[in-house]
Amino acid sequence: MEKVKQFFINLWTTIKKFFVNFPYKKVSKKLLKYITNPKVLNSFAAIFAGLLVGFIVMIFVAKNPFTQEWSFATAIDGLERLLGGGAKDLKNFGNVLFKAAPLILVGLSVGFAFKTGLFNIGASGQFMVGGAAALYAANLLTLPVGLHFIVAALAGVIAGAFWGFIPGILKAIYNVNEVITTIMMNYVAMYLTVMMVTYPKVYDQGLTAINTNFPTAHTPVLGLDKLFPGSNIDISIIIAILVAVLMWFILEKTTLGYQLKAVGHSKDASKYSGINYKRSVALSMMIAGGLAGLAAALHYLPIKPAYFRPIEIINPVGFEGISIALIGQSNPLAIIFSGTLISYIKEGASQMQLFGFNKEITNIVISVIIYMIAISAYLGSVISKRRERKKELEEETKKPNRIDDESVTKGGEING
Amino acid sequence: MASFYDYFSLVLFFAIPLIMTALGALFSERGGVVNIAMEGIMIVGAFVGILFINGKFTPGINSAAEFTDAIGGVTVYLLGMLMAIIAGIVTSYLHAIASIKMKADQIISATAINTLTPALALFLTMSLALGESPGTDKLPVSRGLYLIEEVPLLSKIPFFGELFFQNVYPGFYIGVIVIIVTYIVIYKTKFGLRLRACGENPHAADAAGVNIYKIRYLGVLISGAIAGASGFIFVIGFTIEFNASVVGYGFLAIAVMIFGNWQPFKIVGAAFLFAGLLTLSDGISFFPALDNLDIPEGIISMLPYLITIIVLVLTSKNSRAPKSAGQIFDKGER
Repeated sequence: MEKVKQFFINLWTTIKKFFVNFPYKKVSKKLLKYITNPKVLNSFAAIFAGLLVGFIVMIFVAKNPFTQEWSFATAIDGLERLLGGGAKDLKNFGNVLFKAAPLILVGLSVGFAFKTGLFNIGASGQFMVGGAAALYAANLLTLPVGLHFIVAALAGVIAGAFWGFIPGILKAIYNVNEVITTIMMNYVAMYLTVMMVTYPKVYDQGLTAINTNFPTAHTPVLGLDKLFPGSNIDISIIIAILVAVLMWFILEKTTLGYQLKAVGHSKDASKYSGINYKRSVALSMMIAGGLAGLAAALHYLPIKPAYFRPIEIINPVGFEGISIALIGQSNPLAIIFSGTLISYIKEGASQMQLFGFNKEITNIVISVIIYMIAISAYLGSVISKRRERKKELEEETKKPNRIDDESVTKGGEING
Repeated sequence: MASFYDYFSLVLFFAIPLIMTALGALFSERGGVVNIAMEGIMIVGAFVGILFINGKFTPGINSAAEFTDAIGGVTVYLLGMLMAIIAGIVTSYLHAIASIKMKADQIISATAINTLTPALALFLTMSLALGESPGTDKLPVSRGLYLIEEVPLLSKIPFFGELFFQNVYPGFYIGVIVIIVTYIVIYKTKFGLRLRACGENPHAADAAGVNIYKIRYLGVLISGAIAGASGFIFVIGFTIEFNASVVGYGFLAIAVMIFGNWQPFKIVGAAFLFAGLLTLSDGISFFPALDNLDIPEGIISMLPYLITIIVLVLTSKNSRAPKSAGQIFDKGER
């Protein structure tokens, strides 16, 4: 007992020390530096441009819901919902966070692969397989509350990791282009999960989906619903953020991450410096797959889950993941933000349907954001070049200007 | 014989748009620009083409049937394809200007196009009520109107007449023309040589006086034109309702292109192999021996993808992508 008490006292003093000695000034300076970093500014400008284009498109098609005539006011109403719908009240914002969790993780999956020089189009397949595995574990195992969720989520991670490992190992050993294998693996996953879903022991005829009644395996809520009353929120958003921080830590602060990134930069140079290329590639794809699998677990395990239906369509979530990774420029911490942003815009867009706007506006906005990010470096250089030239011109024309002024006044006199 | 004939015509049907799109991507990649926007460009081509053949751009015509009555099915089809080609070129220009002039990451700008096009098509269909009824996001496709029932004379050739010259869409012949022209352009013309040089070693080509930017632009725009047309051909051939999707065919085509090792004839072979396996689940009844094994349908559906992966593993040693595909060309950087 004494020991436990001592432990807590020690813990408390370390926490206190941490907050007292915390380098607030340094951190805030760093934060400011980070926000004013041109890359980050570019992303914000791109997001603004995307919303602007979305608004312009909305203006063109805005119709008054009653008179069916073109109406600017409706466009404004729609924009208000698009921008503010996700934060209209705590319930909506809770749902935004709830839906953001899987998106962040899929974005991390694609982004992690990007950072290590691989293009993971297969997040969809890894997601589908991971989801099916998690639901199998949730349905077929009997375990105590809490542990059951962890096991089910891990089942998703392992299945996704396996699905990512195959293209990874094929790339590592046989040098097979991972773009094509991940596309193929998406289709294999689609047919495989259709078969898995209709397996009688887990299939619910009434739902036409995998049974979702597995009380012990649902994602714990841990009282977060008190913070966001009425919403579906659970701890998945916390898991997603923690995983993102972990990924950032691995990539930026560990030798492993350094090696993985080095392989992404240059295969030959990394080989030369003694990094195990094959292991790195396989491991990167495995981690990417595991992240997508975890995303699926968090997507299908909540108390109010999405249904896993036997339809022969590749889940588009992997392609959303590409968008999210690109908007976050593959930085795990930025992906937390971009995933939440996409979820936020989606929530706004679904509310916008009240005013007769199609929710596809989300993808229009997202695509413009991505395109602007793609060309932002070029635009930035053009703008800065122009500024320089303007400055030079101004400096050059300062002297001649005076002469011009004199001649103008002279001309005035003559005319007068 | 009948069973083989049915199966083979099904394979042909699947293979043509796949081959066309893969060859389109080839033009872009051989010039050094990775174009994974093929999916999106196909969707644009199909969308604009179908709007045209449904008479949305032509005043006084209200339906596809009226249009074909007025000027004939084949003419409408070809005009629709022309619209699809123009739309494809315009869309691929977005990719070209970003990835060549603005030196953007080619995967990023292509992803933007893949995200934009289905969304825009669905959005416009809904908002402007382009479908049959105001609430729908699907466009009707009256595919039966555009079949060529019989090509005079040629259809009388035994076997081949039935296969190639009866009940075919005009797109089939376009596909054949594209295969031949692609081969000639890439291997037998000055432009083709320059294009390949741009993809292999742009700095050397630049030193030899080739305008890299211009050649790459052309490569991407040609790929856009072909992808637009093949999107149109694909949708007319397969669906009766277009909901802004080509079910991943654009990505499959890129896989086929890599599978075919960036060489036109190998791509055709790869596409036929792939299409053959792809139609296996529909065509298995044509092969009683296989059918009797009672393999679950899901497994058979997986086969084409699994076999492609296996073949890739076996042939990976010979695989050679254009050396500078995906790399940004900057004149000043050497």
